[in-house]
Amino acid sequence: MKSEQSVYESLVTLLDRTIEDLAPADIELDSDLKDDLDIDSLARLEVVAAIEEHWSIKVPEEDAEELRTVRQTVHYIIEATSTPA
Amino acid sequence: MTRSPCDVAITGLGATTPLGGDVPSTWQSLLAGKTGVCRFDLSAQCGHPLPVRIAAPAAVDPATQLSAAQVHHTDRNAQLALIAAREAWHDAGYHTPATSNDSTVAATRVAAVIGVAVGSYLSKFHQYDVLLREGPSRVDPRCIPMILPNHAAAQVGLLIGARASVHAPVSACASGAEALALALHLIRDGQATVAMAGGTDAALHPLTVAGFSRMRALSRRNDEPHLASRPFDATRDGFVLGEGAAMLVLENADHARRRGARIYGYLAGAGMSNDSHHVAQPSPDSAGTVQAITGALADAGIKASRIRHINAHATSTPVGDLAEANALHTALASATDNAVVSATKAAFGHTLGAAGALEALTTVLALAHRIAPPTCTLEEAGEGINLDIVGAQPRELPAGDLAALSTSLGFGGHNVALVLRGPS
Repeated sequence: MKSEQSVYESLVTLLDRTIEDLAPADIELDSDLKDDLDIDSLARLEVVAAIEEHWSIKVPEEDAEELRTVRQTVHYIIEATSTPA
Repeated sequence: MTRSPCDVAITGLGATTPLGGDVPSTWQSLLAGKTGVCRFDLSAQCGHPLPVRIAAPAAVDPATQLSAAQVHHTDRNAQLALIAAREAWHDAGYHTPATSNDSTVAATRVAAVIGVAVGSYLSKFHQYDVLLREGPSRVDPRCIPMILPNHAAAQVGLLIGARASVHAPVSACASGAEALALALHLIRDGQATVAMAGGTDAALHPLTVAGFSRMRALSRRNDEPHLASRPFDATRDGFVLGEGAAMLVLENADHARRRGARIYGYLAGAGMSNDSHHVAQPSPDSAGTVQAITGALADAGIKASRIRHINAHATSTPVGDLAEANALHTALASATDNAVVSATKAAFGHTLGAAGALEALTTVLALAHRIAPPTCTLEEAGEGINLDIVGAQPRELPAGDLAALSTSLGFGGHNVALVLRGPS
């Protein structure tokens, strides 16, 4: 199983690459994707697409809608990557 | 009582071209007689040998000049536009975006007019490949805004905070010049105080090469790329595809003077017309081009005899260059004797939607520095071309008030002529 820290670090890099005007230093585990990081609905779709590509997983739309914070997202990725497909 | 229209000053310049990643490096290389044309073979990309294997790619990869996220969200034509607009905006002494408190112009008075001929080809084909290979869920959520013709204009509008209005004129290879003409009118009409005006294109793709090749429009001098783009030369055999972007900050001259801006020169007038003759061929009497040139002179209130420099559209096609030379003779008559002609596509190749803006920018620098740039490949002017064309060495322009003409023509019969004045 992947560690929270390593997934978190990869996610920060991915957010920095995907979202304009986002400083990696502003990202914390408990940051709210919308309220703290200003990730709008279009950007959210891009982040999900980037996560799917990076970790080779499929994130169904209903799951994606539930992800509100960086921490939730990290844990979702850990779970999804540790479950055999 | 009607108010007389204001003068429109040029206060900022930006470019990223086959000769350099900014205006100073581009201008220096142009004066030095360098060319941006090189071997550029896209055959492997389409799996078929292409008949044309030369082009003039941007000297600096735009992706290296922007953040990873910006690159991710934009087509290459918008990347080039953003780099050129950033340079021009800072060059004019403005901060980005215009909404910040230290700005000297309200965002609601700022416009952006950015022309493209081709637009987001590369992203469009890439996203279509993704759709075919990986399915609809892999298509980029930003695909649509990225492939619309206003993509670069919208991106530049966001960059500088242009809230007066944003436009994306599409008139083939006249688009860049048409953008300047439209911006001129916006400022004269009082719709905007400052406008970012220019053009961009990044269409070095196998389909562009194959399509233009089928029209017999491209030079096939594959073994001598540096000599391939030969505007007005007797041995010209077609144009060379290029890519790039050029931006000019146009500004109500009173506003520019009040804030103490450096003024490179003035966009004094513009003329536009259409041949309504053929999708791609120039009309045999060049009447449309003549109409645009005389219209631009009248708009500027300048007699033909005051034109001392011309930056010709001259793409290096056998038919087009001759038709343009005829149009210049008809429109300017004996005044062509006193006008020094530069055909800078010799060095830049044909940057399509950027070309009209890039040539206007080059003309502004020529007037400001009183030097006409070389036509680096010219050896012997072709039959019927009786113009005083600058050859391999740049030529000094005379002292005193200077005015110049820049012409741009496009498939679809578009003709745009711009009259520019020097700073004095």
